[in-house]
Amino acid sequence: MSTLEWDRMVEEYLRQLDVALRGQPKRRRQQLVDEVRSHIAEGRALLGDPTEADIRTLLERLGTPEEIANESLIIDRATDGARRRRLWLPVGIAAALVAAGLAVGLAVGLAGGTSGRRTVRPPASTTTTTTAVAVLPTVRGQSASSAADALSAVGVHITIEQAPSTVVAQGDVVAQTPAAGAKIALGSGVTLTVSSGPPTSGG
Amino acid sequence: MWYMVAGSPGNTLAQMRRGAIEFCVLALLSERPRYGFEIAKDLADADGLVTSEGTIYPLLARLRADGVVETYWEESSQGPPRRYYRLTKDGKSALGAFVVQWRRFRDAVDGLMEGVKGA
Repeated sequence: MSTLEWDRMVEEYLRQLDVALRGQPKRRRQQLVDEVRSHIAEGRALLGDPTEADIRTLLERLGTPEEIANESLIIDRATDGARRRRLWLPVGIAAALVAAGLAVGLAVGLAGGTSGRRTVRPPASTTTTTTAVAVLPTVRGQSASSAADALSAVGVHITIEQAPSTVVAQGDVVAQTPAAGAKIALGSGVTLTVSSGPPTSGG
Repeated sequence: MWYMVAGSPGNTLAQMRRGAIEFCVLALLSERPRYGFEIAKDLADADGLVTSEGTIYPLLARLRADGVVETYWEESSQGPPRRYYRLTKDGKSALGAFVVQWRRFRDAVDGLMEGVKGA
């Protein structure tokens, strides 16, 4: 593969990352694009003379630009609230276990952090006025649990509805609402329709 | 039929991973300063701690803003200079506090899980 093609693929990825980071603080946005650019350069240096497949693998391992941008949003929101004091974290982990039976989306704003050396947004914004959004990944066809993982990773709540399906295997996702690619506010809900298998004859 | 799926093991583990990952980064940096690519690889090598390597960069940016890590540039023999991350004093104490609590938490959970049959 020529250097030119390589550069084009990488530049396209970085451009998408920059677009996905739109709306986040300018310095953060620039820093993330720079760091990811360096990451790719390091990977490239290790590969020597990469094939197209090598490059795709390198970019795939980074994750999608949307994933990186969503992570940045989630982390900032979390910092505004409960996670500002790092001592909350072990407590949070224990709570995650205890609360295993409860609905957990992104656990932000549970313990209101009050002090702070750094103010990203006014404290009051943690629950109300923030405009942070998540871009929904595609989870159709995945198992319910991996779909739940993918969605909770971008910071949305999940509700599952079951419906019979003759096409989709039992336990796999038939549909998601809103659809993949939709932008929704962090912490809002996504409904997954999960196949309960073929309809039973009596029903 | 409606129910919430958040209690599924996969989801719980994802939440725990999310909570623990920053301390895994601090632990790596307590050994020696590392640059971003190294941190990403080392975490990815540690049994699925990170599946999308790029997501560690937002984390590193936040740790830096929190003052638990700091960065500096160092020349590289293989290319452009690298941005290295190292622990700050605050980072060391945050890690130290976490390690103590983590061990207690881990032992408590392990103790209960040992009684589970068929695992």
